[in-house]
Amino acid sequence: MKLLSNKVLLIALVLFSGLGYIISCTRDNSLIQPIQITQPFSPSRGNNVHLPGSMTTGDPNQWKLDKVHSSVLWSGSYIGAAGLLTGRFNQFGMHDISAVEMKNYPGTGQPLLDTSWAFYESDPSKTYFNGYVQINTSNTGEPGRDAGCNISAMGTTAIISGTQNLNVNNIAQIKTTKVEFDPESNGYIIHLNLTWQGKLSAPHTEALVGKLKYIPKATPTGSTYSVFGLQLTFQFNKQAYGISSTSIGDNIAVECNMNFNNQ
Amino acid sequence: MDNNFWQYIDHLQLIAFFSGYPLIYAIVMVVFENKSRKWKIFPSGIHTLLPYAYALSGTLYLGLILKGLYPDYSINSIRIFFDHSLLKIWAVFSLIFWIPLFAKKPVISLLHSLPFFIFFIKDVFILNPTSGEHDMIRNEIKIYSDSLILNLITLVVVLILFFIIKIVYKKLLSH
Repeated sequence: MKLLSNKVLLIALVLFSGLGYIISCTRDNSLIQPIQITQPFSPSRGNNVHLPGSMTTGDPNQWKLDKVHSSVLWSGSYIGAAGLLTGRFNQFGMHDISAVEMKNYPGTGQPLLDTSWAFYESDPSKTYFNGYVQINTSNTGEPGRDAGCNISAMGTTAIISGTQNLNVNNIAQIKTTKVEFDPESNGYIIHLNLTWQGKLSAPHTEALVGKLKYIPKATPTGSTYSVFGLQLTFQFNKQAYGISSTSIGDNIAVECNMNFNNQ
Repeated sequence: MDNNFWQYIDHLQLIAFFSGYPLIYAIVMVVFENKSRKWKIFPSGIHTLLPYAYALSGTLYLGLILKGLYPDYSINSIRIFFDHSLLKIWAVFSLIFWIPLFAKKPVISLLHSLPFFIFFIKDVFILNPTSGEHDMIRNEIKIYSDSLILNLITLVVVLILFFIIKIVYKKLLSH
């Protein structure tokens, strides 16, 4: 190296490298701040209160279940080992059906008012839900199965056209027993009872835990009314209700997507 | 330092492979240059092998590039890899030191490696040691230390290789 003495080069390189090491060690004595990998969840809930009242049309303070845009979906593992087998219930409602109300009703729509619920966004102790599905309206998209083997497998009777069957052997009901804040989201933890006769001789009740998600109130563009949504998810074991079908696994997941408006 | 995470990783890779070479070069030059004549195995001096050691580092870097590109070695993929990064292209040029013509003058390999050392030093002095960037400085210093070790190992490997080649060559001649 003729342009520069190797010794000068070495000194310069050692100097620069050494400075780098010194700079990298300058804060070795400062306190090490623990790194918080997951931040504690900070909820951001509002104070919306939604009540059905008597579902008077035109009263914006009374919220109505928009059944046409709602759904109750179920899914389970096909033969307990493969992909999901899914379906939905065509007929459902949000009413606490009493013993005397358990009968056949003429008509194509739900005969009972969807008034057995209340939702308080910031006070879950006041929130409650009652809901039901008509078991024989389970729809997997295969009419041969839905109106065929499914009927006997679920311990119910076939659909009679123009009749709403709310008899005890054809309804599964949920009734919340406790609603509390979900500490990990803006949603809620729902404790509920699922009552269904299934293949048993009498209705059976199981205590379950699910999750509820609230989709806050909003006014659609160009609309004069508001909407909000509730999404409830839970699971149950079909064996508890005497259902021993080998076509589907024991664990059944249910998802209720309920939309409401105040038209 | 660009905020792009992947560009930063590329930058660290270059530091890891090449920034340690100048210091190894200077140490070898100072320690062995005058004593090289006394070495029987390498009468021309250990320092003459420095460009080959540097080329070996470059070859390892090329291997890392090829591993990263696997299995898509298309022109487009290579173009994307080298896009807007003259330093990466410059790094690949270290392979020319396998050619004896370029290896003849070790100082050229030093000049080739200096940009990587300068970029490393620039980072150390520009980043703010009292803010969150202190961890980045510390990280780069660790990588620089690794680079020193890597370049030392490549020099030792090249020394061993040349030693073996020399013995085999001598045996072949004696036969």
